[in-house]
Amino acid sequence: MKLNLFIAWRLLWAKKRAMGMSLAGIVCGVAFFVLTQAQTSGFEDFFIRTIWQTRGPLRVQDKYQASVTEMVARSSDGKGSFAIPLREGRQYVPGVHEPERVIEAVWNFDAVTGVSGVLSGNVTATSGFRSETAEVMGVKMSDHVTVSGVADQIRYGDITTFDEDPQSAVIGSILAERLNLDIGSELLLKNAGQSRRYEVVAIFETGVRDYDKSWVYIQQREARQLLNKMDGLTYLQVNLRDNDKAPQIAEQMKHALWHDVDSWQESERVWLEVFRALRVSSGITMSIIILIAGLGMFNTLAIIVMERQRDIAILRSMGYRRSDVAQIFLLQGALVCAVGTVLGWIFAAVLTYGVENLPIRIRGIFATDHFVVKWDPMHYVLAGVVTVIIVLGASYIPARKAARIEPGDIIRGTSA
Amino acid sequence: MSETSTQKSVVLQTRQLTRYLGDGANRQLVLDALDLDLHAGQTCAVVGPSGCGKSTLLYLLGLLDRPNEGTIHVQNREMAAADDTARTAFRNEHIGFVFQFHFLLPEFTALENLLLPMRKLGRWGDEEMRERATELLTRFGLGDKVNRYTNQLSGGEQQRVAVARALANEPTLILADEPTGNLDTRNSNNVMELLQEAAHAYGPSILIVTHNPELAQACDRLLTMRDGRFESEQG
Repeated sequence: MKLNLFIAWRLLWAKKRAMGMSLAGIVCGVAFFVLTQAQTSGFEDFFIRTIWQTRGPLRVQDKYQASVTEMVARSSDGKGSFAIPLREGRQYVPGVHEPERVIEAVWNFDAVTGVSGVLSGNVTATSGFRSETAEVMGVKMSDHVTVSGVADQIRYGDITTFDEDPQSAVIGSILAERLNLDIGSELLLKNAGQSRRYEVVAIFETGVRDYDKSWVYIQQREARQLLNKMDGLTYLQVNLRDNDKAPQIAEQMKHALWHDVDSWQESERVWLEVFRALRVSSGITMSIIILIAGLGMFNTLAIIVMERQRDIAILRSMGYRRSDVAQIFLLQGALVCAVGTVLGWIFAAVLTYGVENLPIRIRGIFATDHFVVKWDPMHYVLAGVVTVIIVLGASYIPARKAARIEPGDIIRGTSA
Repeated sequence: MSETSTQKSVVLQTRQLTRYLGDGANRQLVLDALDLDLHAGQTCAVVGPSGCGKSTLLYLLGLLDRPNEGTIHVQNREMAAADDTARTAFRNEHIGFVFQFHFLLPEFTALENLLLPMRKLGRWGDEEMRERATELLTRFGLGDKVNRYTNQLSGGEQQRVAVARALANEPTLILADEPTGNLDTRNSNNVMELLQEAAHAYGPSILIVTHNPELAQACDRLLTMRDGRFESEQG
């Protein structure tokens, strides 16, 4: 192996210009593969974190109950009859009923780290400037910070006294802008003929446009008055130790609580599929670049084998086996592959660092002021694996051809 | 000499060695049931007109080609029907080649060209291999050029490196195909002397295919080939 590696290196070095082109292709392929994966994964992860910090990993919502009807069967003479129960399905009752009992039951799950009851409903928010439709969120803030990122999403103001002051309102940044509200401004919320006044104590920005333009947090007791809902909650927002297990835990909770339980993976399925499709498609595109580099490698090695037939014959005449010859050419491919992959990784890290610092303002499904990337060693491993498969695959055919060369035919052909 | 000791001294023996080239209507008999014995330390020249089968014979004896019929015994081992791995290993250990064109690898220095078969054989340690290779090149007048790449050497020097490489693993048989065919008279004489010296100093049997009458005459035996058969023998 060591001897064959030495020979491979010398033969490779003699063709450094031609190999350099293949090497450049591999470096670029690996680097762009990693970069695109870092970007798509970065944005995907950022989106997922945004979901966790807004709607939470799990929501316990509408109660359901089995609806059963009977079919009455009579005997042919009409004297006897019996009823057959028919299970038709589930009937949903909006909201969480007897929330204290349900919350207690939710806490029985070991996976749960936080529960917050939310009473929500549509209202009209009015300032001295204009009116907007808003969604009021009646919460106990000390609970809600354990299931969301609201504490980190505060851009202006403070929420520490929210639970003590019934007039406190925390509103979304876009709504605040539309109503021309600032910290300390007065906000009027109207619903079903009654209106209540609040003071804006904080403005949050989740980055999710739909939330930032409509959500208004007020105390839950205030929300009951405003929405005229004296019992029950709209949903429970639940935080978990391991958010990736949300679908399994949701399924267990459904059976235990008789409520519909929605995991973040289920509710955001469409967006998650979009991100997955983007990640896979960019991976395929970048693999094609590596494949083209691999074809370049194949081409270069095939030419080298053609040009080196005499040298191969000499090595064979000196006692090098067919497997040695194949190994020498495979090692040339492996050397280019190894150098290309390592340089590609370095180039990828530099590019990723550069892109991470590129300014870009994104609002809509999340909020960021620069490109979001994910530094994941798996991207580098994956790029390496794809490169090894393609380049060694491309090297295998010329190597096999080299091994099949009959030294006698070549030497006889070059004799005078 | 007794029968047993004669058998022992035979390095190379062929019986009924037959080789056809081409297929179908183009199939042509190149070697016609050749019998040959070559003894240890013997130099043997094979001469004959172009196309008589000299080179074909050489490549068969060098285990670079396979006969259609017949046997090849080298060092009392039948190699004609041996598998490719065994023939390759045998070539490495027991057979050295000198070709018409030096056939050195240009990416390697003169010393490294000698080390290639030696390192493959693995009989000696790294330091010993270097010493032996340097000594060989020095003996062939190339002591000051061991680290030169072969394309930095003259044609005569290149052929001397090729002869040294053929001797590197101390083979029992050296096969030379027109070793002076590409050299001027002075270098031809030089190579001829080296081969003779090698035969006497290191003891391998040498079989030379040549058109060079001086080189042929300098050998212990002279075989003349025609139409795939040995026509006559001298010595």
